[in-house]
Amino acid sequence: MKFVKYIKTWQFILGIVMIILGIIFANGTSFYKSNIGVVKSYNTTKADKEYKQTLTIKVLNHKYRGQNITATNEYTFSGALNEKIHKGDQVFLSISKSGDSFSASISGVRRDYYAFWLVLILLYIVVVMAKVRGIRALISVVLNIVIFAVALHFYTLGHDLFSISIVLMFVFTICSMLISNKVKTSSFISIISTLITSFLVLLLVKWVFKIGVDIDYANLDYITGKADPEMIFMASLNIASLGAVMDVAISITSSLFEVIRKNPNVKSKNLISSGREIGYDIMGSMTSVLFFTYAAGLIPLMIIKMHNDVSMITILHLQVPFEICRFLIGGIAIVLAIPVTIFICGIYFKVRNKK
Amino acid sequence: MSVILILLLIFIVLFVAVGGDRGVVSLITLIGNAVIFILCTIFMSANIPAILVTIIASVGISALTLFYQNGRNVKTYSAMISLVIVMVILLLMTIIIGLQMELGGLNEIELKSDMVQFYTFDFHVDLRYVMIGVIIIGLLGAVLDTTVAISSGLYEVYEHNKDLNQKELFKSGIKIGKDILSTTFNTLYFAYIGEALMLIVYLQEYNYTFIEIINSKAFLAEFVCIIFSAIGCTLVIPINAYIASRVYKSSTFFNQ
Repeated sequence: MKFVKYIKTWQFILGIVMIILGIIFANGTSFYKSNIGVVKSYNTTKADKEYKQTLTIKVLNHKYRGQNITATNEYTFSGALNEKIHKGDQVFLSISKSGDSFSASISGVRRDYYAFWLVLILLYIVVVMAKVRGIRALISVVLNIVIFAVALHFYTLGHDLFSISIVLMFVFTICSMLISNKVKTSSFISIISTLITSFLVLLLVKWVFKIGVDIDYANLDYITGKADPEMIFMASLNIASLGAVMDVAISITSSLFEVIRKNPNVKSKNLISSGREIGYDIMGSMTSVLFFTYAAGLIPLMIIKMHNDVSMITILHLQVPFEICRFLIGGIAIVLAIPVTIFICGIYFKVRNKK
Repeated sequence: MSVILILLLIFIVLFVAVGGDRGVVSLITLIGNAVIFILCTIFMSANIPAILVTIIASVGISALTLFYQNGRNVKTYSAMISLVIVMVILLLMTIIIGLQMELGGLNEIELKSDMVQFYTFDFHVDLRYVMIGVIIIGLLGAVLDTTVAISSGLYEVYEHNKDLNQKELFKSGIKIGKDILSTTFNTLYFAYIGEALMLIVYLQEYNYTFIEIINSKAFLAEFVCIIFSAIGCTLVIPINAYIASRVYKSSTFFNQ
């Protein structure tokens, strides 16, 4: 019982509130327009390479609430094109009635409540762990999501995505810096450094895309045909490495400010070497963060392609250029942020000392 | 010359120019991680259990990053211990939640592409388990970054104030963790939102409703990855602060 002592009352109450919210959300099927049912039981028969499930489903909302109906679902072992449905899963149903009998087909699996549970778990541990700081970090993320949604709204109104992404760069940087790092001089230095680095990278990318052989945009995911793929890709590049650049800028500025605070007469040469020292430490791990974030998502497609006799060399050479591009540009941005931030800090300290 | 080759050259030159010798070490680590990643994909596609491959790859990546890039010392040992604990917790969570969500396989958008007609999907790899690997490997980098930051930050505190007791060290560790939490969240958010931008533009143009978007595999696969990364980065803070404070206080054990 020693463990129980450490759980404070507010943490306990918060936990209960979270669990209640999760249960309400998972059972709140009447908010949905479409019919939702819960899988009570199923039989599986295996035919050739396909598994066929005959499901007994209890409808949870609307007109047919409480009725038991049956529907079928097919899936293969790999689950590449379809999926197994588990007992207790909620499914979206389209029900049609002919005479006294119902026939229903499954139009999709309801997954949003799992995501909601995960969000609740995250909220709980962040608030319990970091309290006010944690809440501030979360507010910053929520605000960024709102900004993102507003920007998408402007896109649907017909504004050009590339210009929107440039505006987003400014708004995102200023908002996240001022919220997570508070309003102080070092935040402004970090903002300036982040923006300068981002623009340098933007120019570099434009130049490289001009002199280099074109990438084949046919392989870019989510091409709609309507919009210019290069434009969309460039816009996504502008934003993708922003977080990492901000991270580098904050780490270096706050450390250099700390050095100056402890020793106001430090020589600019020593300041540069401290900045570089911090730069070394973060650049390796930041590039690995980007590498794994981008690379991991490729695994399923790479496996599918390798089973279709596309060799690993071809995949790396031709099929994933966008992820490689995005990673390389992110890496360049991280490394470039180090000298830029040191330079901006240097200028600031010089100007301040002259006054 | 292709765009990628030019970018690669710029990347390498900048890395070495800014990072010097340590830039080279980081670069070698990165190449090693990329090789482990590719091997991991090959083994998964050869039908070796995806979770086993994921565990071995994670250990390899962590050991390379911690012990080669950052050196073998108390800091990296305590980072490694905390990392193992956090990864075990996260692996269990992803197995429980990830399998239920059935996020493996092609998403709605990929199902509409030509790929479906040209490719055969009659292979014996269970993509649901592969998805667990995707989540775990995707968050490994971020959690590694956090443990290194906490372990080395806390070590500085310990070096300058050797008479702090374990409880005070633990508190400093939590404080360091809180400081980096919001920048870590930002890095994760922006790394994913670049991709999400293209996805959401697509979904909007095809008139997906909000309910359809939040239940789609395409959106949720990304979303679940971000949330698990964020959970990992938060969970590692108290665990790492505890482990590091214990290890540093008994560091005679490591002859440091």
